[in-house]
Amino acid sequence: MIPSKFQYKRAESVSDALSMMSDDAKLLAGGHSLLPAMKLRLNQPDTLIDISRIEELKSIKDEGDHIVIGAAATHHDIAHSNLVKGACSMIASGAGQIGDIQVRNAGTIGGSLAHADPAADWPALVIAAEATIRVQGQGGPRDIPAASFFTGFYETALADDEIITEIHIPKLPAGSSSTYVKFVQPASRFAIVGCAVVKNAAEGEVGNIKVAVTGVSEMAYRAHGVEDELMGQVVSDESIDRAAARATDHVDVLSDHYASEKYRKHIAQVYVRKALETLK
Amino acid sequence: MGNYIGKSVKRVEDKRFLTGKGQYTDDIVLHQQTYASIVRSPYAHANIESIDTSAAEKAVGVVAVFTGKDFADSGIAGVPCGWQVNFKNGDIMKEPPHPLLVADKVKHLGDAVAIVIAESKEIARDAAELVDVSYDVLDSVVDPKKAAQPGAPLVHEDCPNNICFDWELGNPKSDVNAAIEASHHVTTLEFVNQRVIPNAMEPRAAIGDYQAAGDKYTLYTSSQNPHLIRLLLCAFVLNLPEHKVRVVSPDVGGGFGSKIFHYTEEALVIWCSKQIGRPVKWTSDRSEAFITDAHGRDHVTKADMGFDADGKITALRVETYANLGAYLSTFAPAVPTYLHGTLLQGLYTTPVINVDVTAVFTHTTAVDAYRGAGRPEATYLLERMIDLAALEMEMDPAELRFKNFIPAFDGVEQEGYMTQVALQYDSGDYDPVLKKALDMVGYDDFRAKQSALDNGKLIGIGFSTYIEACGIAPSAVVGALGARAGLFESAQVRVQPTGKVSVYTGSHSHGQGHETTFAQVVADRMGIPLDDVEIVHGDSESVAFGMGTYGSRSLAVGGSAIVKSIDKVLEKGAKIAAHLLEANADDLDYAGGKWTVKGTDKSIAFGDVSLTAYVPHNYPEGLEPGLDFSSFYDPANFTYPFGAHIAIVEIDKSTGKVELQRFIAVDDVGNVINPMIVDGQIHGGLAQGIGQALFEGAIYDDNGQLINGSYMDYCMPRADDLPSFEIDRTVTPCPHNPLGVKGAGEAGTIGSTPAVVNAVIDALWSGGHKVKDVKMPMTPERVWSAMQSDQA
Amino acid sequence: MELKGKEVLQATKEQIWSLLMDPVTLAKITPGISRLELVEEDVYDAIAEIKIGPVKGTFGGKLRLKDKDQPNSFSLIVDQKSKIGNVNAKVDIALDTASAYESTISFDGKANMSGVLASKGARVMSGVASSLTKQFFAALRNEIASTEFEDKRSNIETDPNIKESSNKSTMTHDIELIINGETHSITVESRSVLANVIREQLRLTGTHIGCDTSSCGACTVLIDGKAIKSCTMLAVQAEGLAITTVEGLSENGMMHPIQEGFKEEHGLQCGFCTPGMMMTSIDLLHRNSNPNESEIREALEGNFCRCTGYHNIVRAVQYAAEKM
Repeated sequence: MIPSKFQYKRAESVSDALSMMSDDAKLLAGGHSLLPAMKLRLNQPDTLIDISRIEELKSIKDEGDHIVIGAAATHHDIAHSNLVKGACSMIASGAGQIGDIQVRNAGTIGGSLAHADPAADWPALVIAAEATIRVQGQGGPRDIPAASFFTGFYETALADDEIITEIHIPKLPAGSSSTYVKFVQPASRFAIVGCAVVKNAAEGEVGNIKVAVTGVSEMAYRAHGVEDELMGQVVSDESIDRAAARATDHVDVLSDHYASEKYRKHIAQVYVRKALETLK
Repeated sequence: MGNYIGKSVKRVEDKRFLTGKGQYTDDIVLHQQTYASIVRSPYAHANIESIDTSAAEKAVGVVAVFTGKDFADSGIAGVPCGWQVNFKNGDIMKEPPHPLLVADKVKHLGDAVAIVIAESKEIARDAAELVDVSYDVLDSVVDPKKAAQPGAPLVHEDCPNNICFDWELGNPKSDVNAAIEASHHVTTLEFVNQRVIPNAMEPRAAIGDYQAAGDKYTLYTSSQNPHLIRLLLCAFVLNLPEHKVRVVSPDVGGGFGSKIFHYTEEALVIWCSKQIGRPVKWTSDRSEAFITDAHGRDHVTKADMGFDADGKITALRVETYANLGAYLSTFAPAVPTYLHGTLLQGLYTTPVINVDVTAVFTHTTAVDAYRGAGRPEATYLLERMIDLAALEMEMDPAELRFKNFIPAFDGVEQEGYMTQVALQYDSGDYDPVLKKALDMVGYDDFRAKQSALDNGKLIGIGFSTYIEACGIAPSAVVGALGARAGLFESAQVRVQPTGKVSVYTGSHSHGQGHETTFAQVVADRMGIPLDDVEIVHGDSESVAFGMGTYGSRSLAVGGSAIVKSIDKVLEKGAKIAAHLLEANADDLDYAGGKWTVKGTDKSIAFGDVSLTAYVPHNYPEGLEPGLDFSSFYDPANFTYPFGAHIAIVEIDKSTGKVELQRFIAVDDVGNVINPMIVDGQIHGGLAQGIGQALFEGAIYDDNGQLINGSYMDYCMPRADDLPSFEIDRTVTPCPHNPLGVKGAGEAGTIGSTPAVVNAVIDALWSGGHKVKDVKMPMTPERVWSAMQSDQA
Repeated sequence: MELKGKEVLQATKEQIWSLLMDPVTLAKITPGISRLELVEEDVYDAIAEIKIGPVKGTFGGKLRLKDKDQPNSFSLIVDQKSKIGNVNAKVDIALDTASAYESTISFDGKANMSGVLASKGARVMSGVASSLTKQFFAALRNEIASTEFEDKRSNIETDPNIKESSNKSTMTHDIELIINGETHSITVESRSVLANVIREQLRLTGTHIGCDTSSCGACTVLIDGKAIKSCTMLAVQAEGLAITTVEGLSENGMMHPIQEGFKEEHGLQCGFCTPGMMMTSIDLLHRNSNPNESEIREALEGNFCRCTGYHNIVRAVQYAAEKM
């Protein structure tokens, strides 16, 4: 399979990349979202701007109360980073569940977020972690909370002339827990349902548990119904039961040849329950 | 005789594959080669209103563009079918043409309408996009049962109700109906043996190379049987002079049946090469492979199996609609008939059997033999029925089988077993395989564990005891059944002057390890080192003739041909040795690579004899020089491997996800030349059979679109979907071929599918969900739904 | 693809009808429409740009209105062609009075996709219908809010700058690829993926291509020691990086332990997946020198083998682990 013709430009820095951006240009990092579509000619951009060699986008740094993951860090780098593991363990374990070894070696967090595949793992992870996504445009940087980054089916708050540069993940204090569980489509290995939950120890036994779900609807979402049910409650079998039942409150549930709407809804409840049970 | 048969000799072919030096068709680049890209229909059924190739022709680097119109006056009708089955009333099956390029009406997604030939792959691909085809889309039908109903859209106008043929085998229907009526218990099941896609990892490729100077044609193609392709090309498709045509199948990256058949692209690249005077290469990409490689299975079946009060089977009645796809692929008619109906005796003494098959065209990719071909469908049917009957009658499924097994017979002292469905089994001893498998699985412990389980899971055990007919096949028999070719095999054993041996076989290895197994046979029988033997295959110019590799036939038929030639070599060698030893040939023993005069220490080595054969100074009078023999071997019967497979599965009640925990296979494939290779064949077969049960299945929508035509959607088993397999064997030699071998290529696939499905059904029943069937592939949703719909 | 929806709008049936029959409005509210031209009574020529996730295509063709029963119902027939596949749809649209100021609009139909779009885009397309439907209703609601209802009919072109994508310049790059320790100076097209360059230009044909979707792993090579699917990386991206292919595994004629393992344990049959399988195994063994069976199976999830059932591949990797 051969993509249509395009121009390839390699950016040396973020500003370099920004200066190259045009109407029909696409950013290329790990390539694992874009190149398969281009080989099938489902997408035929004029120009690819390669940002995979921009060093400033690859680092994973400690910045006190949060860590900063560069947008071009690979899933593999994140899965194996002790810094990430210490800050919010599900970010590392979730990264380790993406695709396969080869995909994790090449694919990047920024690429995945910008692509906003409704069945990708990152959206649920960053939403539950209450991450902030820093993007840069000609006018400078701006920060977008993960919860408002995903705006629709493969759509994000990222403007056409902006680049994701960093993902800021708040550190969880000792005693906190975070989990990501996933029910995979066995062919694509994308999520039929992926559920990320975070319980911050600083908020005590009946704190605000964050729950995010991917794969179920047109975009990953914060499962407010689930969270509300648990608010002020000790996590128990009973509260988990009530909470899990609300896994798909107020969302349109997708349906495809592998999982119907009814089944997906059921699996969402099962996996929300599975994730919450790790908090007991 | 020697030191090689029965040993797990490491494969001699491995080194080239492990170092990247294998040579598959797409690895070959010929001087002045051009590249082809084929424009394919995006619709399952449509009239072609117009094809505008002008933009493509004008593109820089495009050499030529051809469409169906270019064949209009050529007399080239398309690729033929290699097997004829007649209607019940004696009429010949409907055999519509399968054109190389379609001129008027496309009949399935992926039907070829134009070919673009260019200087590079990239240019060809770009230019193919410029070919503008205008279609008038028509209604289509994809389900074989629906297609056979009056009023369904027609695939071929001259084929009423889309029926290619109907066919019946076994005892009179009235006898079977009466026996069913009179039965104590009748198990009835309607089910689908779904369409699967073979997916050999190497996509098909073909290079056509016409050299005008000598009027010579060479076709390189990723095929399982180059000689048959040559015969079909020359005699039926392009009317070429066969002595001017060479067909080479170099290294082939898996076939599983899908590379047996003669495909249109093979004829196209040859024809195009002649038109443009340069080699033309076409390499399928995976997307094309999904919609153009012949698919497998796709039967819709209703079966009734009767039992008496003791659990003895009294009768079997089967009605099947078999989907052939839009065109007749090379062996398609044989699969649902002579490879399926004839196996419905299974291992059981069923006294009366009737099978009725309706073969139907639909607007889908052609269906033909896929690993097992017909026999997995037959086994699936029988083994599902008997496990279900055991559940319904509250009998033990293993006991029920023992009760019905055909008693042992060796085919020598006792005659072969005559079935109700036209075959005579060669030799069989069925109790031991199941007993061994039960021991391996720890059956009693399992049942105890199953009833005690309480952890959100259900576990189940499923059995399958199968028989298959392979070593395909006696030519006269298959000829009488409609094959348009003989199914013998040829072999040439050429002893070089220095005693090294080149063996030319008409079998073709595409993963089976013939270069090792055949060499073991030769080295062993001739008492020479393995390194002194070279196996040559896959080239019609060096190998005299061949019928190729499929139906687990290579060793049983091809290996037997080699043995015949070895016998001739040794017989002649003995004459030369006798002359040199001044003895009588009858007084010589041959062992360890030398002839010895019985009772003496006078001997002469094989190499001395071979040298003498080519330097015949001191030589028997009247004997021709040389030591080089060809043989053709036509088997006396099919061979009949059998076995017992047991699957243990666990179902997660909350999701319906099935995990295959253990898989036990005890197979009897007759004598074994290389246990390591046989085990490998079983492993691979199991994975494919398990794949059909749990993961794989083509999904067509009502418009004939294949909606899971990529690896992102079509689920093939991956390493982490499968357990390690527990396998063993018994040995019941084949009585009618010199090696006593039966064939091992398909056993794993044939036996495994129903074992897995039965295990899931058993698990469901153990949880009180008394469902008869869950459709394959048994996806989590389907299993979960079964648990919802039948809350017992 | 089923298209079904129902929405309550703040307008009368007649008002909604007039909006839907107006090409200007119709073009505005229909997602992706960049050009709509009335060519005959109730027949429009339409060009639509659809961009959803990884899929992007320009569709051209006809929109037809049929069975009009003003202001109650009509059918919309869509026949759109594109390079990535064709869409044929028929949607029945019905308007009903809900209250004095409100109406319900409901539609029910089916869109059939064909070509690449149907077979490869399934995962994406599953969400497209609801996404497009939502956009359509949101836009219609906007229109209703901002319209003073009166009749207007004309032909429009909202975007005259329809891009012709055929004349893209070929861009090539002179690069150095370091493969198996050897530096090759070559010229590659921007669009050439590494796997093709390795096979076609450098004639190292041990690296194989088994799929179009980055799924099968047959093309796996090591880049700076990490297993990478070379079909999903542009050759130009690999410039200057250390690439190892199967041809580079043996040293001085000595087989690499992974090669030995595959041979000793019969980890290969047809040999097609084997190079990629070995490359991924090496990556695994570099990070985990003594993997257990389930770790091996998990590590190889990105590599298909159709011959071995993976059983002996697991043993081959274990063999290599012991030797390394």
